[in-house]
This record gives sequence, structure tokens and C-alpha cells, in this order.
Amino acid sequence: MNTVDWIVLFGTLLLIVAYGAWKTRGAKSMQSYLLGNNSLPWWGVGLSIMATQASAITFLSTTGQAYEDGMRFLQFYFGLPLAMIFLSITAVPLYHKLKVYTAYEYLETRFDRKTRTLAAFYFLMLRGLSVGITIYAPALILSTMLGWSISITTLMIGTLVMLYTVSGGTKAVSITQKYQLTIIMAGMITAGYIAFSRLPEGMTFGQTFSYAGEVGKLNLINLSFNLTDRYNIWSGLIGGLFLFLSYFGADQSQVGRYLGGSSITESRLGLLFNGLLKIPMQFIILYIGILIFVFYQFHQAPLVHNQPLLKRAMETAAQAELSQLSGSYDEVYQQRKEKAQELVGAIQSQDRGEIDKAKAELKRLQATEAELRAKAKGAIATAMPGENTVDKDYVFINYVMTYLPHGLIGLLLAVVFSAAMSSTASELNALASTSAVDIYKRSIRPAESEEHYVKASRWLTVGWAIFGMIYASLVNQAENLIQFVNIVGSLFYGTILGIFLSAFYIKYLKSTAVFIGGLVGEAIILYLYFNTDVAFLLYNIIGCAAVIGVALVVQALTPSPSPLRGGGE
Amino acid sequence: QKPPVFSSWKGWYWLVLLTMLAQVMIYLMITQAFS
Repeated sequence: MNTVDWIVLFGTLLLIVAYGAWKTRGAKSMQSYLLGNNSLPWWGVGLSIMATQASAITFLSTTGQAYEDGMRFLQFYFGLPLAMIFLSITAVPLYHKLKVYTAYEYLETRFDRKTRTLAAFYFLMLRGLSVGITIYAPALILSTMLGWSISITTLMIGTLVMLYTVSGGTKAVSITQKYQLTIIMAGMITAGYIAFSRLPEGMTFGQTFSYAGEVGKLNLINLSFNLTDRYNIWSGLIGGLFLFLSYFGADQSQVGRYLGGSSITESRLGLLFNGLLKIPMQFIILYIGILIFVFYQFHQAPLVHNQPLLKRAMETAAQAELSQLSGSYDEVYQQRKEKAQELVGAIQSQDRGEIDKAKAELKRLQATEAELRAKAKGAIATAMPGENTVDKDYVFINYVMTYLPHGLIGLLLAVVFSAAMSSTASELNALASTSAVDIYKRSIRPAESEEHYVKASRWLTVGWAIFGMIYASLVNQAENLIQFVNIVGSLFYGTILGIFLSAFYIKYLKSTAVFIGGLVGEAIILYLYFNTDVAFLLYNIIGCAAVIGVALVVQALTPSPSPLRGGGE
Repeated sequence: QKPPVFSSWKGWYWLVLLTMLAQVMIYLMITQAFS
């Protein structure tokens, strides 16, 4: 990092924050503060949805995942377009016609207050628990790479987001996301292009594709049926459909994006735009990871991608072993680079025999390299117990800091911060609107002025932002919290989805039956979590089925109301 | 409610569905080409 990088990084971030806060200052009504006056066009809705879903970890982990594991993660998104179609048909017109501020508000018109409050409570639990991680995960990586304390990077992400989400509400979130997503995609594509431009002379883009395919990185589709493993097409289509139905249909972080659309048509088109572009966008991000993999065939990849950790390890008892491993790693790399060049030559001359020969030798050398890397991580783990040696999330950022020209390093760090901020902003905004509308206004202070509720929403945004930052600092103390938080979504999503699907599709079910279903369904999921090792992807399906199943049984056992009382809902 | 481009919303839903399926087919062909 040099002066140019710092100027680019802070210039970019502060410009976006200042523009967002200034442009949307002074929202006076709940409609302008929570729905942005319903002024978003379809492309604004679509960009906002995509920016919310793409957090910093999406970009850091996805590229690292492709680098280590190939493209198979893409299958996870195949269910998303299906979910967009279902939600366009049912959720969008229902929410729009009722002019709701949150998804849970709809549940009161369909069921009653207790069911609405239960769903809002589940949402506040799951999103409250994960907003800390949305801030913490990039804060940790940035603090490692920049050498800052993690409190500084956490505070920086948290307060920058707080500045504009508190002042402008939903509208500030969506107008900043437009610029954040533009910077993110421009930065990512530039980083990928630079990796490509530094490949050996004469290697075309198509040949990077052939190279990646020959060494097994284009493992895009796995047809075997196994719902407990997320990397096959059926998990993507079925598990992904359930996950994305609850994420986009029942999680206010996303519902709040398309509630701000100016009409049913604009909101629908925004969702469908996401359904059309999401898979290609993930393909591009994964392929950038592949380009970095091909780049490292001709430039030496570090023994451990988390370089600051390796540096610290060199000052411990592991120093001798690490130096020796590093020496062997250099030797293997020299041999492997030759083989990689032979493979490129064979691909260029389309000589199948030569391709297979070079491939076999490359495979052997890559296995040796992987072994050396694993040994190095083992040595670090022994010498520095408690340190996380998984370096997948550092592949991309280390490449950026090592190989990109000054100016672009600053831009790519702005990409990571922007991605963290665009997701955090939607989450804080959703936590504030749900706690303001579904809890505070509905059950605590129902008869106050409009101004009072806008003020309350602002303070709740501040409260959730501070909660998120404190929580992010606590996570740093307890590594196993992260494991818990990463799956906390799965613990509540199935149940919430069951409540919403009952509301959308099963007219027969009334409020009390669904409320009991919502409680029992959650109890079943928590029982499974503490007592079995059922795959998390199945939780969404089991939770959803449990709610609907229990509700149907309870409804069947409930005596139907006498016609004299009208039997309305 | 009338959507742009297509005469009904079904046109859009089919477009999204077929785009997804087309991508799956292309990815399947790539996977099989290298396996």
C-alpha cells in the first residue's frame, strides 16, 4: 500500500458514504424512511438485491474456492432463478397490494398478531446473530493484510455504514449499493484481467479455459443425487430453491429491497433480473479464481496464502521446518512450471498424447505441492495453537496485494469494504424496520406520531449497528462462535418459510394451527441440531415440512367454527 | 400488471427458466468435455 492506494481507498469509500447520506437526508415519513417513497425502478431493485446478497466473503471465499476446488460451487445457485419465479408470482403482488413495510406485517393480515410476532422474532434472531459476522469476516481479513487492529477495521465498516443508513434509511441503502456494485464488478474484472495479461506470451483466453479444464478445474456439474452434499445439481436445484425462497421471500434484508420498487411490475422485473444475472455473475467471480490459479502456474504461489501468518510463524519454533519446506516447495515449483509450459504447448498444438502426458506429470507435482502446503500449515498449527491456518479466503487478497499495481490495490480494497458495507447496510436497515414496525409500533407504543416512529427507526438502526460491532469484536474472542453463526440461518429459515408458504398457498390453515406449527417446527430443528448430524442444507426442507405438517394436523383437530360466528380469519 | 416486452408475465417466467436450463446444459457439456 502506498499513498495512491490510500487515496483511492478512502476517496472511494468516503465519496459513496457522503453522497448516500447527503442525497437522502431528512426523510420525514415512515414511507420515505423505510420504503424510499417506493421510487425504485426495476434495475434499481435488481442491483440492490444483488448487492445485498454479495457480501465481502462472497468475493474473497468464492475466488479462493475456485482456486482450490474448481467451479463446482456454481451449482449451489441453480435453484435461485426458480425461487425468483415463485416469488414474482405470489409474494410480490401480495406485499405490494397490502402496502406492507415488512414481510411479517403481511402475516397479521393473513393470520394474526401472534404469528406475525413469532416470524419477526425468528428473523431478528437469525439476522441479529449473523450481522456481526457480515462485519467481522472481512474486518478480520483486512486487519491481517493491512496490519491494523481488528477493532479499527470493524469500527470502520460499522460506522461508515451507520452514517448513511441512519440518515437516509432504505433509499440511502439502495443508492449507495448502485455505486458499490459498480465498483465491485469493475474491480473484480480488472483483477482477473491483470492475471490473464501476465500469462505466458501467446496464451489466449480460450487456452486458459482449456488449461483449467485439463487440470480438472471445470468440474461444473455433478449429476449424482445426494442432498447431504451441496455440490451436486440436485442439491442446487432443490436445496437451493428452498434456501432462496426463504432468503428472498421471508428475510426482510431482501424483502425490504423489492418492497421499495415503484410498482408490482418494477419489483417483479427486479427479481427476475436477479434470476437472469445471478448465475452468470457467480460464474465470472469463480472464473476470476480460476484465472488466478492459471496465473500461479507460471508465477510462484506462496507456500501459505495468509502471508502475515507465515511471517509470524517464521519467528517461532516452526522456523527450521518451514524454511526446509519452503526450499522443497521452490524446487517443485520450478519443475511444475516447466510441465505447465509443456501442457500449454500441447494445448496450442492440439496434440492429445502430449496433453495427457504433461497432465499426468503435472498432477503428480501438484499432489507434492499440496502435501508441502499441508505440512507447512501443520507446522504452523503446532507452533501457534489456536491460529486458523485455513488460507482459502486469503488467496485473492494476497494476489491483489502482491501483484496488482499501486492504485489498483487501493481500488480492490475498496471493493472488499464496499461489499461488506452493501450487505451490512441492508441487514441493519431490515433489522431496524422489523423491530420498529413489527415489535415497537405494533406491541410497545402503538399510538404515536409518524415522526416518532421515524425517529425510533433511526435509533434502532444505531442500536443494531452498535450491537453488530460489539458482537463482531466478541466473535474474535471465540472461534467456535463463527461455526455456529454460519449455520444459524439454516436453524430458522425452514421454519419461517413454512409459515410463509402456509400463508401463501394453504387457505385451509388458520392462525393458531400455523403458530403451533411454527413453535413445534423450530423445536424439531433445534433438537436435530443438538442431537444429530443431519446436513444443514436439509434443515430448510425439514423445518418447512414440519411447520406445514404440524399445522395441518392441528387444523384437522380444531373444531370448525359454527356458521353463526361467521368463521372468518 | 402488464409486463414490458412480453404480452404476459408467463413470457418472462419462461425466459428466466429457459435461461437457467440453457446454462445448466452448457455447463454439463463443458464438464463432460473434460472428464
